[in-house]
Amino acid sequence: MEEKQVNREEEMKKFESQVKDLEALDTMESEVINNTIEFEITKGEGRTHRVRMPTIREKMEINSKRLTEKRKLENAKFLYEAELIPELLVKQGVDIKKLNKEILDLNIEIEKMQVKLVPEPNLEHRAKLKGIIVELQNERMFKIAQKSQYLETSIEAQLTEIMITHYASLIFEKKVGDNWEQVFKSYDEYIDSKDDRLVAIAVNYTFTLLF
Amino acid sequence: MEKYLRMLSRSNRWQLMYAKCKELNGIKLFENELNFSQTQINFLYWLSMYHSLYQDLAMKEKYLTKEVIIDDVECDAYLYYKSVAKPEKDKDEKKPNLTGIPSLVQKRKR
Repeated sequence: MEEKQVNREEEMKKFESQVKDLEALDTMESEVINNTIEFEITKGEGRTHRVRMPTIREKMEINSKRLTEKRKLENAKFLYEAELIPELLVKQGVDIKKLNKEILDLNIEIEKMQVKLVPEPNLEHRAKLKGIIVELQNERMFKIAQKSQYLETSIEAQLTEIMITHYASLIFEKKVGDNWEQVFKSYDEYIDSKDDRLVAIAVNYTFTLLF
Repeated sequence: MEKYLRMLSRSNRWQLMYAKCKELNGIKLFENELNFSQTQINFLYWLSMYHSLYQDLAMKEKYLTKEVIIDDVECDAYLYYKSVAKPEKDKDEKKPNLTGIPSLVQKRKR
């Protein structure tokens, strides 16, 4: 009897995960087909907001701002990645070159495991090798995240972040009747917004669509 | 996100659409014809990758099964094995001379 209940729970979990996958696939499919991501801000409200691809003109406008923003960062004494790396080593003892080497070594290790996995006939060994690969991939992802965290104050990283906010202010829209209207009328309105959650959502979806 | 992009691109529906799109000019995969997003570019990459894997499967390529195709870890391993390890192995093996003409190694006269 008890065993039956466990199976039922497992089945329920499996079913829930399948439904979740189907929902995610639906969202992904609509994103792929019409080049926009529609989503809800408040649960149960329906997909009232979206991000869309910027037009060629909008892209040109934003790219023209890139140089101005870069100059601002240079004047504010931000450093380029290449300048920041030796400074991180001297001032904080953070060795980015070593971290890069570790990431490369992990790549090599993953590839070695992949070459072992493909011809492996034993199912148990296959599962073990797959587990090792996933572990190594997670470790690599952690190190990559660590690296970008250390370099987040570099001009390159700051510029990417600023460009995303420029795009977000332009392509984040809400449904008004049958039409889509910009949520923020200008970049300044976006930057000055006190609704942190809305701003974070805009950035998150913009990043997903464009990068 | 990539997990779902891969799931979608290896689905029967999208593989069929992709094959038909290659055959017939009139079929469009996306609503837009230009200004592709990064997601669309990645989707096209995976569509073509899985198309080639299904072709390999039909050709009964060694080590490739349907289970390998639907498992991202195994699929990545197979793609790496196919791109690097296999050609290296082939390089070592001497190709048989099937022309019937004796092979000739020319050496510079001193």
